[in-house]
Amino acid sequence: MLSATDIEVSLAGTPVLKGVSFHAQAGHVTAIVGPNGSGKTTLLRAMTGDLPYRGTVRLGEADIAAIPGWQLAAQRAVLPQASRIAFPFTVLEIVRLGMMASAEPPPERRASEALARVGLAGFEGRFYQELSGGEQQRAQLARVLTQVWDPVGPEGPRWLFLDEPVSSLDIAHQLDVMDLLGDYAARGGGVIAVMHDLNLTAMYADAVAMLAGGRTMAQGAPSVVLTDTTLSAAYGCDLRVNAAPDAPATYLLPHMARRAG
Amino acid sequence: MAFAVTSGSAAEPEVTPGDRSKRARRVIAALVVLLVCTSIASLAVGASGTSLWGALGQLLRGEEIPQREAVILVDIRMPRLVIGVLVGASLAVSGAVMQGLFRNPLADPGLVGVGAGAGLGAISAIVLGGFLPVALQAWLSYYLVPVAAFFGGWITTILLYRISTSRGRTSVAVMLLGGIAIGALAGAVSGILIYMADDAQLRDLTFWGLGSIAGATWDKALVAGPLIVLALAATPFLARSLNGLALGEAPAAHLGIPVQRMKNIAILAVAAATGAAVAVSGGIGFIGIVVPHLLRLLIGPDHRYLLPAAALLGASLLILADMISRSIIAPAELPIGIVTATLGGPFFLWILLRNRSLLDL
Repeated sequence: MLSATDIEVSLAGTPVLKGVSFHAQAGHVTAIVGPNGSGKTTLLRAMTGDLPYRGTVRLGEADIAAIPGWQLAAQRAVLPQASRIAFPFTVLEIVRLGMMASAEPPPERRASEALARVGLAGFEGRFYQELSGGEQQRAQLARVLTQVWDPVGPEGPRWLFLDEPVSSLDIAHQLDVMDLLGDYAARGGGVIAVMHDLNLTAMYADAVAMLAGGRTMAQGAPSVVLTDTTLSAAYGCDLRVNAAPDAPATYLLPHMARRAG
Repeated sequence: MAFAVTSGSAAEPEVTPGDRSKRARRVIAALVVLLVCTSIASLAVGASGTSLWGALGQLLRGEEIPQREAVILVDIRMPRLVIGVLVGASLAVSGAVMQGLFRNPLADPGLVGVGAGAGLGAISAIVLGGFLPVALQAWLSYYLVPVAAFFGGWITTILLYRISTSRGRTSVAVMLLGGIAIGALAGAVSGILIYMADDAQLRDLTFWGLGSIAGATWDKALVAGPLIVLALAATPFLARSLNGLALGEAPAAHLGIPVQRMKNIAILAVAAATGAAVAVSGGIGFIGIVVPHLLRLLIGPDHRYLLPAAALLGASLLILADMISRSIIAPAELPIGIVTATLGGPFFLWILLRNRSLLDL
C-alpha cells in the first residue's frame, strides 16, 4: 500500500498541489490522469522524493522520507518522462545501471531479458543516443525493470513509478508496455503511472486518480472516475464515455456535437 | 553496430554486444605497459648530453653506476618523473571526474576557472604568506602553496557548481560562461597580487608560473604527492555513482546513490588534484579534456574503467610531453604547457566541432 496524504507542493512560489491525497495498492495498476498542468507529474515527483513537499508519503507503514536511499532503491524504481544521457553509453550499459541498486548482483543476462520484454531484443550494442524517442523510452523502462525485477521481494511488494510510460510509443508498443505493466501488477507488484491516454487508462488501470487544478477530483475504479460528468468538468470539454458491445472496457470520444457546431 | 561483435573462437570468450568491459580491461593493461615504457624512456633521455640507457641497464643488473649518472638519475630525473606521473594522472582524472559531475565532456578544471582559482590560491600564498602568523607559516612550510591552491580550487569549483546548477539541472552554457567570468576575476586578483609582490616573491612566482615540471625536486613531490594520491584514492568510490549520475541527478538518487554526498566528494577530489597539480606545475592545459575524451571513444564512458585508464594515459602523455619539452630545443627547455597546448588546442577544437549539439546553447 502506498499512501500520500495532504500533499502540498509549491514550485517557484506558486502552489501546484493544494492538499492532494492519493492511494495505490500493490497488485493494481493505478493511473494518475488529468489535464495539462493539473499536477500529475508534480505528484509523482513528490512521491518519489524529487520535490520538497508538505504532507506524508508512506510505503507500507514507513514514511518514505525516513527510508534510506539504497533501501528505497530496492523497493521502487522510477521512470522519468524524458532522459538525456550525458555520454555515449550503449543500451546494454544503460540497462545494467538499473542493476546497481541490488544488494546481490543479478545474473548478467537480466539486462538482455529486460530488453526482450520491452521489445528491444538485439539492441544491446546500439548507442543509446542513436535510438528513436520511443526506443529510448523503452530502453529506460528496461533499466527500471531490472531494478525491481521481481514484483515481490523479501521486504514486500515492489513498486514502479512511471511518468507517461507510453507517451512516445506507437500503438502496438503502447499495448505491449501496458500488458507488461498489467502483468507486473498481477504478479503482486505495484504500478503507479501518470497517463495521458484516457482510453488506455480505461483499458488497463485498476484504479484511477483524477487531478484538476492541483486537487484530487475523483479517485477509485475507472468506472467510477471516468464518467461523462467528471471528465467533462476536469478537461473543460464535452466528453462521452461509451461501451462497445464486444469490448470489456469503455472508450471515450469527444462529443461529436462540438465538431458539428 | 560498432560493438556488436560476437566472437566464437576458443581463445576469445563470447563477448556480449554492448559490453565493453573486456575491451576496457585490455586497454588498461596496455596503458600500464605504456606507462612503464615511457617512464623508463623518460629516465634515460634528457638534456645532460649523456644517454643513461647504459646506466639504467647497469642499475637493473645491480652494478654500481658512476657518481655523475647516479646524481642525474636520482636527484633530477626521478623526482621529475614522479611529479610528471602525479600531475599527469591528476589532471586527467580531475578532468574526467569533473566531466562526470557536470555531465558534459567539455568540463575541465583548466577551462572553467578552477585552475585559475587554484592559481590565485597559490599566488596568494606566495605573496601574502608572510602576513600569516609565524607559527602557522612554520607549521605549513612547504605545504602552504599547495594547500592554498587546493582551497582556491575548492572554492571556485563549489562556486561554479552553485552558479550553473539549479533544481538539479546543470546548464552547460552557464557553466562555461561562469567559468570564464570566475577565471577572469581570479586572474585579475592574481594580477593585483603580482603587482604588489616584491622582487624575491616575483622570482618565486615566475618559476611557479612557467607551467613546467622542470623545477621538480623530491621536496615538491612529497608536498604534492599526498594531496594527489588522496584525490586519486577517492575515485574508485566515485566511479559507480558517476555512472548513475549520467542519467541525471534524480534518476541517480532513485538508484540509491547518495547524490549530494557524492557530489561533495567529487568536488573535493577535483579541487585537491587540480590544486596540487597547479601548485607544483603551474597551469598545464588540455590533458584533462583530451585524455578522457580519447578514452571514451576507445572504451566507453563507464567510469569504473575510464578513471583508472585516464590516470594511466594522463601520466604517460605528460611524461611524453615533458620529454618533448626538454629535448626539442635542448639544451634549453620549452615549458611543457606550450607542448600540451600546441597538441591539445587543435584536438579540443576538433572535439568541439564534432560535438556542437552537446553544448546545448
